[in-house]
Amino acid sequence: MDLAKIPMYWGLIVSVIIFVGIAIWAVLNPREYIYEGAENRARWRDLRIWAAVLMGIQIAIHVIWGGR
Amino acid sequence: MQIIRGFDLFIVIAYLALIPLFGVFFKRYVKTSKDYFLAGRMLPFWVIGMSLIGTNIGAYDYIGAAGGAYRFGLVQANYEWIGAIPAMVLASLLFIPFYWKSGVYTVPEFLGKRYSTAVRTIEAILWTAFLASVLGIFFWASGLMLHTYLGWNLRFSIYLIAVIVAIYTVTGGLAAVAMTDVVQMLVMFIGGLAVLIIGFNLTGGWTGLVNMIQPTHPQHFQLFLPLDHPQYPWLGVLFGLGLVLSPAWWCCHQAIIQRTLGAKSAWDAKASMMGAAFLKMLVPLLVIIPGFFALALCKDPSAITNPDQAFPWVMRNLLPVGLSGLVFASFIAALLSSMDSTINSTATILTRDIYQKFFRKEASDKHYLLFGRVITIILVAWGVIFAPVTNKFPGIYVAMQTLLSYFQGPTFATVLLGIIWSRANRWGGLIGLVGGVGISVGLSISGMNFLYVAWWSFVGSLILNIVVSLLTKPEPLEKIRGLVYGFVIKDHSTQKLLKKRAEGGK
Repeated sequence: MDLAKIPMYWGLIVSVIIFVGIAIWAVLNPREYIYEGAENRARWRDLRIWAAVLMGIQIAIHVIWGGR
Repeated sequence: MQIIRGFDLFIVIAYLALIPLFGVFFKRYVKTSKDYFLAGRMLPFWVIGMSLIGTNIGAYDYIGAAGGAYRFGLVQANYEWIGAIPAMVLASLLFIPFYWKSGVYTVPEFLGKRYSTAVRTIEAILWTAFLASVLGIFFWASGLMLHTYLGWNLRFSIYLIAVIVAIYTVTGGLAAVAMTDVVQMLVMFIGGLAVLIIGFNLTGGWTGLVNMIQPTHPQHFQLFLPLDHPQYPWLGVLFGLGLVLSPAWWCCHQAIIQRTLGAKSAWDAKASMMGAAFLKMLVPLLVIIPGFFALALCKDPSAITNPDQAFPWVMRNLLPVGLSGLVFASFIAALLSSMDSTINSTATILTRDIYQKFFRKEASDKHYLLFGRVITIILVAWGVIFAPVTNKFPGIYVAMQTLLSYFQGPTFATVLLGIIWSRANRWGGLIGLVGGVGISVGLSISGMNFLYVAWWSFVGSLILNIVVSLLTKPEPLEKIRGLVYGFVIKDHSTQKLLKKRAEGGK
C-alpha cells in the first residue's frame, strides 16, 4: 500500500477519532477514581467534564483548520 | 547592539531583582528532603498547572515556534494542540494518579517499583545525561540573550543568571521553583497579550491577518500538510508527535511529572495537568501568531533572512517603550522557568535514584536534604562551565535532542505497559526499553524522519515488552497492586478504599 496516496482529510478523521476516543474513555472513569482526594464533590471538580470540554474544543479547532 | 533601553531596561532589572526573593521567602518551609524535592506535597492544583506551562514554554519556543509559523504556518501549532492536549488528559487520568499514590519522587523510581532496579537505573542515567547537558545550553542561551538585547558582557550575564537561579532553587526547592514559575507564566501571558493586541490592531484583526497572508502562502492556515512535506507530514504529526512524543513528554518527563508529585492530594495532582491543558491551548496565541504578524507586516525581505528572526522583528518594530521591556522579561521568564525545573529535577534523580540507591541507603533525611542542595549548586556550576562548550560544539545540542528522541518512544512504551498491563514484567521492561532504544538508533542512522522514528521505536519497544513478558514469569500480585490501572478501577476492595478516602476529604 502506498501511504503517500492517503488523502489529507484522513488526518482530520483520525484526529477526531482520537479526540472522541479519549473523551469517551475519560467519561467512563468511575466517579470514585475521579474525585479521589478532592475536598468535596462539587460538580466543577468532576475532571471528566474538564476532559470532555478539552476534547470538544480540540475537535472544533481541527474541524476549522484541519479539513482543508 | 543594545535593543532594550531606558524604562524597558528598568522593568527587566526590577524583574531580575525580584525573582530570587521567592527562594528566600520559601526557605522557611523547607525542613525535610520531601519539602525540598516535592514541596512537602502541599501544592494546590492551580499552582502546579501554571508552573507546568511555565516549565513547558522555553525561550526557544518564542523564537523557534514563531519562526516555524513564519515559515510553515499553523502546522507549527500542532505542538500545542494535538501534540499536547490528548496526552495531558491521558497523563492526568492514567499516569499521574499512579505516580502520586505510589509515593515516588521520580519517574525512574516508579519504574523501579513496577519493573526492576535495572530499568530504574537505565532511565535515571539517560535522563541525567540529557538534562545535565541541556543545562549548559540554557545558560548559554540566557547569557546570549542578555548580551544581545541589553548589551551586557556575555560572561557577566551567564554568572548573573546562575546566581539568580541558584538563590531560589537551592534555598526554596520545588515550592520556590513552582511559585516563581507561576509569576513567570503570568509575565509571559501578559507580554504575549500585549503583542496580540498591538499586532491585531495593525493587521485589522484575525480576518485581516488571514487576508494578508493567505494569497501568497495558501498552506499557512492548515493544521495538516501533505505526506511529502519534509518537516511535518500529517501522518508523522499524528502518529509520531500525537501518539508518542507528546505523551512521552507529558506522561514521563521528570521535570513535568515532579511538579504533580508535589500536589496536596490525588485530585490536585490530576486537576493540575488538566488545568494546564486549558492554558496550553492558548500558547499558540503567544508563540505562533507573532510569526504571522512578522510575515504580514514586514515589507523588507532583508529584515528577516532567517525565520528565527521573526519574533525579534516583532519586538523591535511593533512594541512601544515599556512593552518591549515586559515582553523581554517574558523571554527571560521562559528561560528561567525551564532552567530551574531542569536543575531541580536533575538534582532529585541524582539524589534519589543514584546516590540514595547505590551510595548511602540509610542516611538521615537531613543528609539527603543537604546532598540535594549541594548537588543543585554543583549543577548550576556545571551549567556555567558547560555553557561555552555548547557554543564551541553546536553539535552537542543536536546530539542531546537526538538522544531524547531515541529514548522517548521506548520510555513511553515501558511506562504505558507498566501501568495498563499487569502481565508486563521486569524482563519485558528491560528488553523493551533497551531494544526500543536500539531500534531508534538504527532507524535514525537510516535517515528516517524523527517523527516516524519515534513511532516505530515505540511500537518495537511495545512488542518486545509484550513478547518477553509472556515468555517469562509474571510479577507477584502484591508487588504490582496499586501500580496498575485495571486493579484500581476493577478491584472492589481498592474501590471501597478510594470511595472512603474521597468521602473523608483527604
